[in-house]
Amino acid sequence: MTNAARLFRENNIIFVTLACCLVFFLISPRFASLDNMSAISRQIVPIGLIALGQFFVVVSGNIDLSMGMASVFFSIVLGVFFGMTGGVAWGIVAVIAGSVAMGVFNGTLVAKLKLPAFIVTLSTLFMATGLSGLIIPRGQQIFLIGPFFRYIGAEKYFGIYASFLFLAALFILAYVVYNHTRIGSYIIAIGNNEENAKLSGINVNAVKIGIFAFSGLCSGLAGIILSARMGFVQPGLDGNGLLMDGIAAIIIGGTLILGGRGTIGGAFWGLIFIGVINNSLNLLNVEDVWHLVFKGVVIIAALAMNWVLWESRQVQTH
Amino acid sequence: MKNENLLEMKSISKSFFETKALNNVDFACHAGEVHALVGLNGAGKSTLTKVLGGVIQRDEGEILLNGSPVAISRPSDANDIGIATIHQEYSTINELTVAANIFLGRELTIGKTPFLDKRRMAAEVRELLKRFGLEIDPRETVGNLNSGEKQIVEILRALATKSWLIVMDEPTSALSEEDKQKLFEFIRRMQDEGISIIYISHHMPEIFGIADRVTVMRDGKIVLSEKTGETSEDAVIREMTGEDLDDFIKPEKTVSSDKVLEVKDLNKPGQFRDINFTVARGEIVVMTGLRGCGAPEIAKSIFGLEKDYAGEITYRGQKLAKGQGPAWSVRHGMGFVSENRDKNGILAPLSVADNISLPFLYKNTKLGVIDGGAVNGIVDKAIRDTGTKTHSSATEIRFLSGGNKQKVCFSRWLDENLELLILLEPTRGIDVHAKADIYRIIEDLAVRGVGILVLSYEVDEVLLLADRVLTLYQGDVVSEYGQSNMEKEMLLADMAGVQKSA
Repeated sequence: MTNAARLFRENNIIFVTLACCLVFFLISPRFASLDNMSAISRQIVPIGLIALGQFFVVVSGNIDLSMGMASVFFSIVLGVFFGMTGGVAWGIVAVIAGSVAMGVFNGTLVAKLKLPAFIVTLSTLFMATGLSGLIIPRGQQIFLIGPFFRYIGAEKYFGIYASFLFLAALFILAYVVYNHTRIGSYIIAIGNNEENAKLSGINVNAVKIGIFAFSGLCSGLAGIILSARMGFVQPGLDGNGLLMDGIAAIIIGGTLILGGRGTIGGAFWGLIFIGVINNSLNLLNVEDVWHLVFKGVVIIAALAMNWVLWESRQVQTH
Repeated sequence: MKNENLLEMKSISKSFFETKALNNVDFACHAGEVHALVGLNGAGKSTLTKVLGGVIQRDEGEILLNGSPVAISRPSDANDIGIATIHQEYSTINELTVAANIFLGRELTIGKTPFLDKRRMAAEVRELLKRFGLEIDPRETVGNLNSGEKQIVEILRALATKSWLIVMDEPTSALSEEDKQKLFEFIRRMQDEGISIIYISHHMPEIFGIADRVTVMRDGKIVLSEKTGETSEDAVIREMTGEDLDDFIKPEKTVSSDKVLEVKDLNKPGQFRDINFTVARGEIVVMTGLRGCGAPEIAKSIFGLEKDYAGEITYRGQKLAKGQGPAWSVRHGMGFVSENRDKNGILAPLSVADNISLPFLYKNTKLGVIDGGAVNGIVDKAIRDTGTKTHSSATEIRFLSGGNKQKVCFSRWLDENLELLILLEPTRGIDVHAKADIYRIIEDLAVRGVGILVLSYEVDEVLLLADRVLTLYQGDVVSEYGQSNMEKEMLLADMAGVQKSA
């Protein structure tokens, strides 16, 4: 196998993404403008936080369905504190503490009571949705205006959005933790075979609770960024759409939905892919309903390609 | 530092409900000793090793290390005093590297930082590999290794944690001939380092080839424990069964000239080349060779699981569409027993009855509803005919022993319309007693006129079963023998790819 072929096989999501970019550029040259690139980088931040939190959960063989609606809920928590105090400090403390607590709650039920993550986090999803509507009745909203929200939503360093730099830093941190500390090995081991991981002396419950605490924290952070970008919060935000984009990003990036395998780099490129698709379909003025249909088709095509390449690798190694 | 440990188990007893699984057992393992533990399924050898490994608790007796009692109440206690068990299902993590697996749970880090010292871990693994004369890349992902190498990784992990007593449960059951030799060499090297090994196996040649001492268990008791030099294969087998083994004798029968299967010019690049053979009604044709010889792929092509082959397969006079699929094959009288019983053979959470009746449910329905009476009749007859030992037909199959599970896999195909039965490694991991039962079932089917195609890697089994044998080497049929000119040495040479000076 030539090096070029191997490069293509192992990093195909990069090439798929670049190919899509080229197509969109040919259709609409505006796609490649600096402004648009910048817009994409800002749009993907909440999805990226969801994807990052979800990544560890999925590699460990679990899933966190609550992440999307939880970020809507935590954006509302921030809004409520802002409304009460006129500042953000207490709101941020509350969001971080609350989101980690929610993650620990999910993780404890999954780890200690051996409940399926799917059901546990589906229940938290319902609770987050219900509580959001309880705090702010449907149709109403809280506006968030102030230097903090402007900073999160629009501040740039060297022409790059601060929020995107924050996301990129988190991805780098996650890369180091996943590849160069024992936590990464433990998560992979648990996703491959929990029983064997336990027999190797790994504290499986602690790792699982930690993973869910992190995914909870990511939901909270996504909530903060979401609220700043929108400038208002309301319970009708499409949190589940956010969740699905995040899951799609990591799966397209080569993470095995059944757990045990995945790379941070792949997840990042999957995220870029989702960002590009979302942006360009908007740019091309594709109607909302068709937007989703196209997105579905493109994701399946990308996955099919991943699968074909994976299969061909299997044949090669034997 | 040489290991000088002595482990003794004294007067160990363990009961499960009414049954005494271990009855006042005394067992000892010295430093650097390879101690073979044999016995039929249910003799108590796995209970004994589980007590030693801390998986189950003894009712009575004590375990002594160098003369002082030790408490082993959970698996980690056993690990702490240097006892490791290598199970048949490897506990390696496929997505991690060799080094990461060996250091899993006790990784080395750079100084006091949380960062992994991958270089040092790889170096230590390389050191360990060198010490035992093994060649594996520490940075390779374990999923890319073959089963022999995975087993070595598993053993190395035990050695890296300073284990000195390694319990191996049927270590060769999933290994090719080449990997077996590597394992034996590895065992000898470990022995030189003073590592002790408890070796559970059914294979007499292996036991007498590598073990210093052999202990035989029967009905929860130790009935023989001798140096291998001071006893014999016959004596061990006699003690295992408690009676002189009534050798399975191939019945007289006439093979019809009516071909049930004809394979012509079968080719699949990288798997097999120019395969031609036939199977007649009542004939047992055995394909043999080393692992990787291509025989399983041929069998799967016939059953319709593979479609990318060139050539022609004619079944009962009808040319098969490529990849016709198991559904078609079963409906037209073909049966298939997979080599991987637990994965592709049984449905673990279902009852014995459900496992037996599954392929023929479609025949026993009235207006789409299962005819319970008819099904029960078939199930009871199948259990009787195969001599399956089960508490009842409603017992979940996962509670049965390997041999009995395999009998259930056979029971599915006792249907009167069976014309061709394909068997992949029909006695893998099964004790001698159950083996004889399986051979009897196969012969009974052949006498009834069923054509039988067997894949076996065990030469003794080939000699015992085959009316005709095809030996394959790397995808080619290298020889074909009938019953009159079948010889063990010739077969072994052909299997191993030894060039014949014609």
